[in-house]
Amino acid sequence: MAKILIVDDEKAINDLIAVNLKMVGHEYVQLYSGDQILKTLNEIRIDLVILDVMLPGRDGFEIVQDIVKRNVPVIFLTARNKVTDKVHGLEIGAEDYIIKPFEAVELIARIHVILRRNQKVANEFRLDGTVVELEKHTVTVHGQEIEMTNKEFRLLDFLIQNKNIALSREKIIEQTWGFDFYGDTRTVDVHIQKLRKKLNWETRIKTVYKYGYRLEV
Amino acid sequence: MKFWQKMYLSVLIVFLIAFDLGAYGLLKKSYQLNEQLDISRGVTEFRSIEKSLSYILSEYTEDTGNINYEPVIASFAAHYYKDDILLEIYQADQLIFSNAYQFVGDRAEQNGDPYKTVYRKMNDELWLFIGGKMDFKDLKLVISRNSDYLQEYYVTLRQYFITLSFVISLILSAALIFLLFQLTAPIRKLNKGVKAIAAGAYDQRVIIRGNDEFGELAQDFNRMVDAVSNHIETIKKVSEDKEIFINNLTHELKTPITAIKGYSEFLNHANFNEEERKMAVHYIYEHIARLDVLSGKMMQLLYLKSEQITLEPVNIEKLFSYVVNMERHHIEEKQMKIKYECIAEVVYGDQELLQSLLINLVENSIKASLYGEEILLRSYHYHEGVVLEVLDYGRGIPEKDIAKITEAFYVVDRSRSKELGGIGLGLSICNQIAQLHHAKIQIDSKENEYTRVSIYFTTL
Repeated sequence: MAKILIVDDEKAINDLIAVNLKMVGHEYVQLYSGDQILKTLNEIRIDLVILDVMLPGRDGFEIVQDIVKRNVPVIFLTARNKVTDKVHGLEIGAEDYIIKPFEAVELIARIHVILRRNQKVANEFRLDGTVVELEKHTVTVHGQEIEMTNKEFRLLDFLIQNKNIALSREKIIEQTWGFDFYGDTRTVDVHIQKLRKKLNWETRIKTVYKYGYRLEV
Repeated sequence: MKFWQKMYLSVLIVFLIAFDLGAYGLLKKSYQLNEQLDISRGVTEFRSIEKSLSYILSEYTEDTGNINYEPVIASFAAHYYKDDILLEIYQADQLIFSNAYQFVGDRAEQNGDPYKTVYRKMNDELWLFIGGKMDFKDLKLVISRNSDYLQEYYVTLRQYFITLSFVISLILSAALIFLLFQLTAPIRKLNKGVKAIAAGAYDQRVIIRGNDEFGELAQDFNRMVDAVSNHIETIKKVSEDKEIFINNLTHELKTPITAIKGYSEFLNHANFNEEERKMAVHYIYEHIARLDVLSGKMMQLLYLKSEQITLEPVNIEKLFSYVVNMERHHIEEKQMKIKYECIAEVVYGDQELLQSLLINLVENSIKASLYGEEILLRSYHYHEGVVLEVLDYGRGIPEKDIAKITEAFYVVDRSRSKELGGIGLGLSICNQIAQLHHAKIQIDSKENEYTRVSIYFTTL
């Protein structure tokens, strides 16, 4: 899992990002101003920086180029919602620009995309004798390869990315089938059932009452 | 058509009409005078011819008794013919001699008594006819003479005037164009300036020297631009302030909303342990409290902006003791001391607002001070007014921040301020209250030494 540096002067927000990262199994380092970032980058191998724009000391827009120079991807996470700020942020080297208030699932999905793009994500996921090779799209249970449809694999990938977080049926449809899917949310239930059976994950994929599902690790 | 062109054409037309009318009158009069001269010369000639002829004829008749006058007249006429004077002699309307051209028509001059003059145009030439009775018997004499020089004179003079008016027009045109161009230069300058200013260059001014109407107009115009640009500046400033305020407010709202939303989402969906649950609940609670403070302060600020207050005498000692009493807990918590001295005893204002003002300032001082430090409240006279002062020996304010510190949502050190529960509206509220009292807040500070906030009341 990746090591992520969180820079936000609001302790509450900083901790909020931290607990969400912890849920999905990332490691993290927390900073509350812009001054210590470069020092931290020198000392610890960091895979990704989540950076607020308005910071005491050096602000996010000032410091981003120094971080990008070191080949560390940056996501801005800020309350500044002007399009010009967003464009500026992306132009000066950030990989993504997320506006507060944010949704944890969305933040994690975007982090995942960037980690994958920068090849800083693990290609393998192991749980109870089940091995998922994310790159190769293969799944084995106790060494035996399991047949999977494309949809099933995407659902599995999404659950793994957001492990320990409850995902609503709508969110699952949006992320695995796409926005233009007009089917019933029951489709999700059917696919979850199939996954549980194929992977022996009856207890691992929990049903969240009246909401959706959660992969518990 | 441009103004100078209009002006040029009007002046030129008026001049030409006046000049040509004058020239025409002069020409007419001159022709008339010449004609009179010509006539009087003709008449003199007529008289002398008539006299001579009458005498010769009467002599001839007396000498010869012959009544055939023709040969006599012919030789006489030949003599005048050399002088270009032609003669006709009539006897009782019967032509008896003529070396003139004969033509049909009204011959009014025949009936002249003693003479009559007529100008006639014949073959494009002007002839003067003078006719009248002769002394001799009942004969009538008509002399005619070529007076074409009159016409030539007239034509020459007219030609001269036309040339003259043309030449003068040319000179006048050049002079007029030059003068008008010079005179209308200020208008063009003004026009250029107006256009530039209309296009948004409000810092430009029109520079036109002189005390004439253009100079005055330019000055008035500049005054107008001054007024307009001042208004625009004010409006800009107000709208900028509003935008900054709203941006700051949005930002100020975003953080608690993000925290509350994020942690409640977390509690709802995540697989958390007890410690994480406590943290989430704590943050939710804390940020709801922050929203509560924010909305309270916002209400206060908005309320203050719309309020008109009545100024009443307020006892300063009572005011100070009230504030000290209200802040007692905070003071004791940090083992601080608060003292006050009242040299001025009464200030005019709204008691509750002044309490709120001082409480805000004292709370700021408490936050800025370390354990065991001291806060001093003072009042004293200054010129014709009263000053209230809050002095602490805390961390002070960096010099670059002093000017901005009364702006809404401005905090010197965000992370520290949040820990202390500040949202950056306190001094904004203080400023608003001071403005309602027509008072001014002045802040002196040295980092890590002291902060002195003085409120100057101008109303007694």
